[in-house]
Amino acid sequence: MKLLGKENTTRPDPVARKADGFTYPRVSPEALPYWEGCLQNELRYQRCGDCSEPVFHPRAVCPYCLSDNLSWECSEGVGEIYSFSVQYVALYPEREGNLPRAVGIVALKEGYHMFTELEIPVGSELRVGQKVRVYFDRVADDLALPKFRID
Amino acid sequence: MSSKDLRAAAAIVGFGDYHCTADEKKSPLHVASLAVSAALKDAGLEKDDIDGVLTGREPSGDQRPQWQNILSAYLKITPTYSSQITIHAAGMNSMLKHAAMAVTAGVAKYVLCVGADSIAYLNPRVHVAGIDTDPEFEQPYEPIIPAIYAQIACRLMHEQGLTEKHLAGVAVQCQDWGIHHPFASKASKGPLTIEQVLSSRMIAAPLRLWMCATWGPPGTGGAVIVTTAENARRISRNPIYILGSGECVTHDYLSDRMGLRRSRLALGNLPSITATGCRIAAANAYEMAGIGPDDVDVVQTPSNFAHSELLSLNELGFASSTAEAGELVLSGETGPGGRLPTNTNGGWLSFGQCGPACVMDSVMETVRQLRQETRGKRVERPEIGLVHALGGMQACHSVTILSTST
Ligand SMILES: [Zn+2]
Repeated sequence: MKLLGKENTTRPDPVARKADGFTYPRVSPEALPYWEGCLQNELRYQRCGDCSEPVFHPRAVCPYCLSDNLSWECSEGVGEIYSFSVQYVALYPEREGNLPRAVGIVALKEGYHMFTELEIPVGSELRVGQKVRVYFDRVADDLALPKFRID
Repeated sequence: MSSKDLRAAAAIVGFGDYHCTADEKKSPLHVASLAVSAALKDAGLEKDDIDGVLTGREPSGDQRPQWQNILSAYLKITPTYSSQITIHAAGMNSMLKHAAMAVTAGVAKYVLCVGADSIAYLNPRVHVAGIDTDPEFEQPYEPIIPAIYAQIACRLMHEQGLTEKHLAGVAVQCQDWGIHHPFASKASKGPLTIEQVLSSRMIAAPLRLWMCATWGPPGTGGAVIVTTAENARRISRNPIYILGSGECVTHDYLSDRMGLRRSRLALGNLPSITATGCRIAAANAYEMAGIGPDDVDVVQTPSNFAHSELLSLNELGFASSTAEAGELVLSGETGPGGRLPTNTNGGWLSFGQCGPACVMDSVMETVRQLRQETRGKRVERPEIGLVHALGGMQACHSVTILSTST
């Protein structure tokens, strides 16, 4: 798995790696199943076997009860927009052609939240509370980013 | 023993600051050195009187950790009490509390607290996004920092009736102060209207250009020297007492804040990104100082983005929602001549945000107002000044209450 290859595990760089025109996540060992799931069109998250809370971002222990009795589950990939912003300036100048684009926080049906990109609908606007569904943007052979569009 | 024992137990006996002009390139160590020299001179102390050194987070324009050591070695100071105080940038405000604890405990006699930065050599857009967004779960989506802060603004509009006009009002208020300050980054742009703000280009909706802090001045440094109140009365004509201090950290990356589903602290309905640790920090600072919001004469808040000031005014107890804070701002009460002078150097929005040192600028402006030695517009004889600093993505909050008397 290139995502957690030598380059990722040995780099002390605190920021994500930019390569081939994309920003690769700095994949942590705890979250590897999440990224592997994305490559298989599965939106995975953890659930605590002791307190039953959904856990995301992936962790080695449940942050609510500190149990390490965590197991991976698959989200239905549906939820609603908690907040969002349409971004008109690119982080990297060479990505100006990719604008405007929307980023936001989605509340998943299973009871957790995640940051993501939201597809801007044609002829209408994004709203807080709108129902959305996940899709996987295969940006490279070894990277699929979960994004959401209006359901 | 309680934090109240620390009330007015320590004081600032010297301060110094330095701001670069628009075309002036100096290293963070250079501007810090100039601030330290000025502070020592102001206090009437020698370098060898200093036995404690605290700095805030390492400057964006230097980036070496343990920067208190870098600075001490640069100036050949040999402290017997030193550390970097960092809850993101807000640690610079909390340095005053740490210094007060050290001098009252007898661990040090004179603690030098320094914050400095210069960004002349950086690409700030990428640098800050690299520090303040999650490298695994946010950075792959390439958000700019305004788009992260905009998540909060979006939610405040949804939950509290905050409007674009409220946001614009903050930009106008900051500029109303900033035009009077010789080092305010946006001063040369002159007076501003609500209409101008609302017609400026969109950066990350709902945040427009005038609702986002500019990067500047190119370099800024501030230093204060803290000693016990008893010693301060002996050596200083005009000590500034540390009356109260509080801090609170709720998260690091913004979207991970939504994983905070319960807390021992009263943070409202969790999970949420619209209630911050400011309310807790302020409650602790007010309790230690034995005062309330009505006693405050001059306020510095974060205004990296327009809604940050409104969140602060709300959670500091000057309003009961961000929309109400917005109405307060639109009424002119937080501007020059108003009842609650806020961000009197132009704030981060108009004065500018020079890396984490913008927090030191807020501290310096408060000391300058209390000592009636401002470079910009002066508030009429304030006795109590409040500094609220935030760090990260509304992650860390520090409130300090300073006063001319005990
Ligand atoms: Zn658990």
